[in-house]
Amino acid sequence: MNIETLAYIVPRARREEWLAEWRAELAFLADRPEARRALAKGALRDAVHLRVEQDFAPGAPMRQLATLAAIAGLCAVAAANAQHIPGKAPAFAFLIAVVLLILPATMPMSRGDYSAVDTRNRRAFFFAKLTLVLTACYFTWCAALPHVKHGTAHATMIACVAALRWAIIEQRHRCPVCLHKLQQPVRVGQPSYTLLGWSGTEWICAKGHGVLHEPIAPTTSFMRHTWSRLLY
Amino acid sequence: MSKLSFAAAVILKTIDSGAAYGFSIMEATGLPSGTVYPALRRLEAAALIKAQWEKQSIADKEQRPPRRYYTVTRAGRTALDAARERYPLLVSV
Repeated sequence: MNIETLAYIVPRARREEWLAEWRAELAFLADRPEARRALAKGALRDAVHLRVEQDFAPGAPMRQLATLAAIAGLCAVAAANAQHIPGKAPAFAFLIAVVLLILPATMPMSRGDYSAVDTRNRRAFFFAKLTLVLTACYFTWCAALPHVKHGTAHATMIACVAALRWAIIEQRHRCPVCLHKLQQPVRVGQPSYTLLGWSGTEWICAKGHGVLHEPIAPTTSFMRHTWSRLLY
Repeated sequence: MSKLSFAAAVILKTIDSGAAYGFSIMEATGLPSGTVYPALRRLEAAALIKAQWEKQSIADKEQRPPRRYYTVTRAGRTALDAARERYPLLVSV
């Protein structure tokens, strides 16, 4: 695979500089094909690293959600009269109240033990994400209402449950310190041995801030996911 | 990034001792390219090193594209001193 093809993996903002750096690195190895091949392997890992780094950063889902909310907003304005959109807010608030009653039945709602870290940023990020998720759902609902006669309320409720579930699960799998996505999930223990040890999944922060212990099934000894700071 | 991994510390030390671009760091450390370049990105993101493009005139004189040179920042030197205490073997690398 040549370097120009690999460059498509790199986020667009850094692509040109990345390509220039790798062209320079490979330029003087033209007469050393093996060294060139070894170096090119690094180009692939470097490109993947930059892509993952960007996708795992807290800004990535916020950008995607903001785009989604903006598109849904434009569709809502196009589909319904813009003046009617705020009028649907009380009905949507009622739907969300019902969704909040349904949600605990679909997933464990424990808040997790993050006593080792300051979680103000984490909470701010979560509320910003929720706002964008609900805004996108609201506009989508407003856009669908004029065209769909029956079942929009039920469909919106299901969509809102799914969206809130996603927001909560996505939040759990983020480092509470840097808000980057946690990586390298590792299964620990066996569910049938819960009397002797815990069983669950461990996620690690790639920046080394800590480890998340997440139980497979909550037990009396291990009810909720727990964050451990990594001590050097 | 106040606590460096051993590989990152080796790379930082190599840059500090004069190897300034990716391939020269690879040759000096013996680390594979797949380790060196992502580590350089992390060190740069943590402001322990900074990158600067070589002047076009110098590259033209040597008939090659300009290279991206890395230098250790003040924060990088502090981190390197801490890494030397943490990894006594770093002195012999």
